[in-house]
Amino acid sequence: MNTLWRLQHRLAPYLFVLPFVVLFLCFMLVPLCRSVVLALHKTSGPGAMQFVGLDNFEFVFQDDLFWRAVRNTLTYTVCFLSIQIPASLGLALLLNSRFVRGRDFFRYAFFSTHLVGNVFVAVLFMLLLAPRHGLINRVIGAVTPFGTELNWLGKPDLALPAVILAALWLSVGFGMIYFLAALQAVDQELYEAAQVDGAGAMSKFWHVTLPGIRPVLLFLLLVGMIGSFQLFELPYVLFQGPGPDNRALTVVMYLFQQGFETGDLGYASAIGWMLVLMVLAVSIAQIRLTRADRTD
Amino acid sequence: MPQRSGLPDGRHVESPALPRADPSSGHHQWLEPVWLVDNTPGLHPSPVNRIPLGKPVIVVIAIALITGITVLMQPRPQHADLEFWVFADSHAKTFRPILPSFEQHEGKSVRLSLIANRALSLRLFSMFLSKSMSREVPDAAEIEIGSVGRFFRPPPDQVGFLPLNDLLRTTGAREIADVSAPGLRGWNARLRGTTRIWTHDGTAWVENPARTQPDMWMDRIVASRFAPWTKAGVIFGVPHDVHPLTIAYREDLFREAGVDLAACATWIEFHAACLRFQQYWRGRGFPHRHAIELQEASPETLVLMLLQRGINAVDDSDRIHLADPKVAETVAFYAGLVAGPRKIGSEAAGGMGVFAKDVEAGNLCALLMPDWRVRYVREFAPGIAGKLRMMPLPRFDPGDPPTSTWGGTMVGIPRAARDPEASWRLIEHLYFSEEGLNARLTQTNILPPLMEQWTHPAFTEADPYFGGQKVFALYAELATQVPRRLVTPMTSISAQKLSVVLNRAVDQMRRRGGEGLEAACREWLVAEARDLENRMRHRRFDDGEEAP
Repeated sequence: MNTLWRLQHRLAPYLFVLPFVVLFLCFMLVPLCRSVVLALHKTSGPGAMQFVGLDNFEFVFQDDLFWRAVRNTLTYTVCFLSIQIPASLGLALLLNSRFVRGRDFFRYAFFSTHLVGNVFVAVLFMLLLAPRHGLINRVIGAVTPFGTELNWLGKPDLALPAVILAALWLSVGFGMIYFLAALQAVDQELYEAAQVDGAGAMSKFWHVTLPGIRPVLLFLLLVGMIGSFQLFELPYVLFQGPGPDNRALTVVMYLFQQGFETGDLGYASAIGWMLVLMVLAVSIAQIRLTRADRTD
Repeated sequence: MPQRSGLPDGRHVESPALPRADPSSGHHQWLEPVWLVDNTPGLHPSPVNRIPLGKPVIVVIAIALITGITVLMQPRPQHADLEFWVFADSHAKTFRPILPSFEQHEGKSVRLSLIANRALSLRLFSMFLSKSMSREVPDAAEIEIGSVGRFFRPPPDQVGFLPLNDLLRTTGAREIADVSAPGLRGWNARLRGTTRIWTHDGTAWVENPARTQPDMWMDRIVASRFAPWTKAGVIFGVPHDVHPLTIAYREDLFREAGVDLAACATWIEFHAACLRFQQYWRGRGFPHRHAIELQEASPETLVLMLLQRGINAVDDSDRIHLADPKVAETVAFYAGLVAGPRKIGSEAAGGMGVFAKDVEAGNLCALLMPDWRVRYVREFAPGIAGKLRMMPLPRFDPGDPPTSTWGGTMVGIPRAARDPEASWRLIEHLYFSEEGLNARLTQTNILPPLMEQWTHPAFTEADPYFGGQKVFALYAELATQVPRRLVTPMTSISAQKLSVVLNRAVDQMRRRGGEGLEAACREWLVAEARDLENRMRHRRFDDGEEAP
């Protein structure tokens, strides 16, 4: 019995991690290594491959469509996060208040949008944003002088706002749930102490609530940022392509186009690695800033 | 050694759960596992509690086993001799009823799978890249024109589809039962039961001793429709359609405005007529009544106009034509149609049939109308039956055809198909047979690429929806003039480049009007052509064999 248990103790950890390791090796590590190899080659069909060194990466730097995609992705990320985080937090604060009736219903209602997929949301917004017939244009026509003819999906300047609108609808409720949990974890005694010290609502928010929910805030920022860099399905379905004047072209969409529409897997891999480097750089910067902030 | 702690009910817990430092060696050592041992008199420890790894693991394994067994017990998809993939629901509905007759005749079973367009082309593309999956490859598959470019990146001998030139040249001999059979000038047919070849001179069949072969499929299909499915002269697909392009318009509204749209022979006349139409309705309180549906930012309609002028942005020899002066001229003209003070076009919303609703409501009063759109207008705008008319496209230059082409589908046979000959016979049955045509007509009126099928009554009779106009006779008349549309892997990128220039042109038209726009467009197009050339050079292999 003793020997059996010793054997089990020795093997158990490996057995537990084995499924993950096997899957990780097969579906992550091998493709990752393969994509490094591909990024250094020109490819064409199953049989043709030619080593080109860093040529694909060199080309990325002079590719105006790639930089357009980067610009779109960054603009989206900044706009999306700067609306999503405050909106989620605002909703969470509202729905954390004891004075709001039907809180549970609203919590579910706001979160429920996150339960539907990107593709569904894209199709839904195609209809909502339709000129003349779409609900959003009808509302705009009723309350503003712009009329019902706004061509959200056809005008370059409106393309990214349309994507952001759809993405916000999808994800504000998701952020709200995290903030709600964080708000409920803030020690009530801190509020009482602040009250005793004569702090007003704003002071309490800045000095008690925000520090209390800071880890969640940072988590949502990081997750939102990484998700924004990976944006693909929403604009792809909404515009059936890169959108007017390529204004809805994102880095991942460009990668997909190169790899699967023009069949250049080598160049697509190089774009993929550029994306990895970008996400890594932004994440490291964010983590460093956070650490510095904490040290201060 | 396990530690024991007593519980109030007489049981105790052996709880050495954590590794503990051995004071003598300084290393951590594993301790015995934790068991909840029930020592209540008369009870023995449950065997479940004694199972290594604990209960949760057993539960997980049990769930895995149950789901695994359930999946294994699911009925497997029936094995079929031929697997056929289609992406369009109407095609699936067309083909399903006529598969049994093929199965009976050939003694082979066929499974038809309806797969979403993008999924189908991506799956097939991945299969072509991965030889290990070749057993999963279908025996025939339909591909939409927008997806086919990706398959043509490898050299012709490595494209995943089988070359069909030989099959098209050696099968489908035209036969006539007797010399009174209908025909068109230039057709060559074999008199059934003989080896003699007869040629139609426009009025009758005349024996032609100079010919030894009748027309084959290759000669019987509209030649320009092979172009999108061809790379370096190798044909990889059989066309499903021709999709000639016309303009359909609200005759009642144009008539009321005193505008005879059908009389416009050129695009310039058309533009002027539409402006008159809009002015009339603006004066009567219809500010959002637009003359025609045109896309403001997407280059799709612009591409159709360029095709009408015989221009493909990238041709089959990988030459780039963006810098052609006609392209700049067309872009500048198009920008004037969709922006600025002389704007006549507006965009319909996406979604099936929404454009038809706009036509019915009188928001958009004319449409670019390939044959595949007729069904949607009929279905989604029944209220305007009798009010629509159809006209050929106006021309830019006298030599242009009065049509273009929009959309298209091919069927191809993957190289890994199990029985390519059977696949070919299946294609012949579905695409070219009388039964296939009748089945097609139950779902759509899409004009087939096989020219002799255009004499079918469905394509010659008057259409009450279009006020008694013989619209499909018009399509058939235009079908032989359809320009060659070429598709290469660079087609989608070239469309993006056109989109960039179009949007600049539209922007300039809005801000400063049309003055100097054509010259500006020329500059932008030259720059984009240079960029496209640069991309193609980057993708080309050193030995020069590789096309982009």
